[in-house]
Amino acid sequence: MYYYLFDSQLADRKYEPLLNRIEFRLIELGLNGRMDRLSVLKNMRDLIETAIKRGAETIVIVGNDAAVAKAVSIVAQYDVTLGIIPVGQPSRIAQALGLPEEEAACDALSKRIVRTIDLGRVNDQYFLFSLDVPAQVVTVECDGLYRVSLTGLPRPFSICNFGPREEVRAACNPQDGVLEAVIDDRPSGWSWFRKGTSLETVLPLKRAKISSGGISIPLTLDGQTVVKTPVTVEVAPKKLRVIVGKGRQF
Amino acid sequence: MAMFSREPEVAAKSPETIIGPSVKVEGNFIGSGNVVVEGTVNGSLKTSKDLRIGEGAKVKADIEAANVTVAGEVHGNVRTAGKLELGPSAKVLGNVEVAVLVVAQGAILNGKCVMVKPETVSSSPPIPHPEKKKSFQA
Repeated sequence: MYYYLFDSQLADRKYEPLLNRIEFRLIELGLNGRMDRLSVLKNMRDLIETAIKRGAETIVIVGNDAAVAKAVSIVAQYDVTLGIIPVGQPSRIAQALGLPEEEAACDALSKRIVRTIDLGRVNDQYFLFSLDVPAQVVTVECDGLYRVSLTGLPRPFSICNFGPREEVRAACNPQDGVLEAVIDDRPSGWSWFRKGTSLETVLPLKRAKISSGGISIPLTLDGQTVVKTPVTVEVAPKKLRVIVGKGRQF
Repeated sequence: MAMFSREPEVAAKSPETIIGPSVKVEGNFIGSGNVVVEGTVNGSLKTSKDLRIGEGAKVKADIEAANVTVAGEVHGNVRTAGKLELGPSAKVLGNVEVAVLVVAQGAILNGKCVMVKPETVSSSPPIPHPEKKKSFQA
């Protein structure tokens, strides 16, 4: 049984014709299911949990990355499949999963190519893409075996599960059972004149402790949720069943 | 471009782990894929596949890998069941235990060198580091 959850931003009148087309296409494809709209008064977690209790096996989020990233953390805790109909920007998650935009995504739902992928976990929060660390002095202890630090000026880095960036996409595979610490080592400013390598550091790890001395630094999960240091980030292997498209990036 | 490069080509293909020039790793690093080091490593470095130590890299660690290519500086013992290739800028201060050794003109190797059959490398005990031996004698 399908359950469709429409993002609150889609309440805008300009989306009305598009949402009608989506609903019509779903009926055409025989993908009927209960539909709900998020609002200020309706909490996403409550709606999804109620739907699962009522027997929903596929939770479909209709919306942009912000709505999908929020849903990933909830759906990952249950034995259900996540579907996405990307409407609105940004839609990086849908692109990475190879899903077309708007009503064309209904056909991908119908084809139902399901893949089980890893997620990253920080406390009880899950992320699909990355945990982003700002340019601050931090220490990363990986797998309890080694410590990583940066020489020179602090710079931002990420703990990635799935690499949307082309340069690290091959390393950051969401089905490899590991996360990757990705540090941009490209020289900045005029230093590109200097002779040297411009490699991007990629370190596979299963668990990392990120600390920043006595101060608390805000870290972001998938550019949405904020957590503060010290944190322990780890891979949650095969945690999410998700409907993907042919053009997926893994 | 590769024809102008001073660094040998072994282990350049699809590295799974890259330690960039501004990164320092301290502890026991154990990798399962190809590893490229361009930064600093202190401790030990082990991988079941190939290892490349770049020109600017500084490694103070005992190394174990399938094949090793060195263009930078290594202070520690190197053990490989395959090939150890020292580029013109390589500096290795430690003992090496290898099946195949390739040394380019200009490379520095200070330490004991033992040539072994590929299958005997992993089972034999490591050769003591010359610096460690000196301090023991003192």
